[in-house]
Amino acid sequence: MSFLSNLFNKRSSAPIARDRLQILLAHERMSVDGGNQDDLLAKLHREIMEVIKRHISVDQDKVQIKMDRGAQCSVLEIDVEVPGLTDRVAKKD
Amino acid sequence: MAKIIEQLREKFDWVICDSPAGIERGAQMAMHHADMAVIVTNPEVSSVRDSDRIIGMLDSTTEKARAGEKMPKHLLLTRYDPQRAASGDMLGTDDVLEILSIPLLGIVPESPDVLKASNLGAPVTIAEPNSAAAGAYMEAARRLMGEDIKITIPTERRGLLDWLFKWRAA
Ligand SMILES: Nc1ncnc2c1ncn2[C@@H]1O[C@H](COP(=O)(O)OP(=O)(O)O)[C@@H](O)[C@H]1O
Repeated sequence: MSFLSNLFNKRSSAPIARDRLQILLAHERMSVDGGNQDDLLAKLHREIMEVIKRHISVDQDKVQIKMDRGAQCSVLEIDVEVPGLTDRVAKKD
Repeated sequence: MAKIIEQLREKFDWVICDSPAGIERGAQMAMHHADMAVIVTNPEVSSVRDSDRIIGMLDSTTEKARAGEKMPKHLLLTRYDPQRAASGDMLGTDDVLEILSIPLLGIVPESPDVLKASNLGAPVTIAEPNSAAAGAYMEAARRLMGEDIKITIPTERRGLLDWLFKWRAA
């Protein structure tokens, strides 16, 4: 009801911001506890980098990982930009 | 990164890792080896929201957190406009503190001196050392070093017009 009273009384926006934040954070704190998506992405990024680095030398920022979560399906998008094949190939072992 | 921090740690009392705004990789890198954190927040929904997530990460993904230790955290509220907070159009200090529930390090007022300083390429504490914003930063730094200085909510020196305006708005 504080929303309505704000609308009619002073029209001040701070209490609305406060309510919005409380709802938003209540939701986000829950999902963070069950496994943080950014955390997951950072982990994936690190491990994918490790695998790629064993064979090709690429920069950190040439590997982009994105996750789009949808109700029906989620998409994990991995975008790796590799240097031209004539460029250096990591010589290991 | 760990190696660099280790070397710096031997040579300096304080090593400050500034982080890019937001909650992306850069912020995670900056916080990873930290001993304590200063979370800089604007009194805005998006900023407070990001800060909440950063606080979550500080307590879960950092080296300190993984070692089972507690990460000391401080909140620096910035771009605070006392008039807008008073008229109810900006989240107040209490709101932000209640939501994030970490101790307050200081309140930096919204001030044109900051933009001026950044145009000049100097910190406001050097370019405009007598401004309210510079004072707030200096006090926050001293609090961080353990000094006990009372936190005051900044007020701008007001002209007559501002007073009238405020009186009308109240
Ligand atoms: N207290 C303030 N008052 C007015 N403008 C500010 C204040 N703090 C920051 N700004 C503006 O925001 C810009 C970006 O601030 P900065 O601290 O560099 O942001 P970031 O969080 O991205 O590091 C500054 O150049 C300045 O124009």
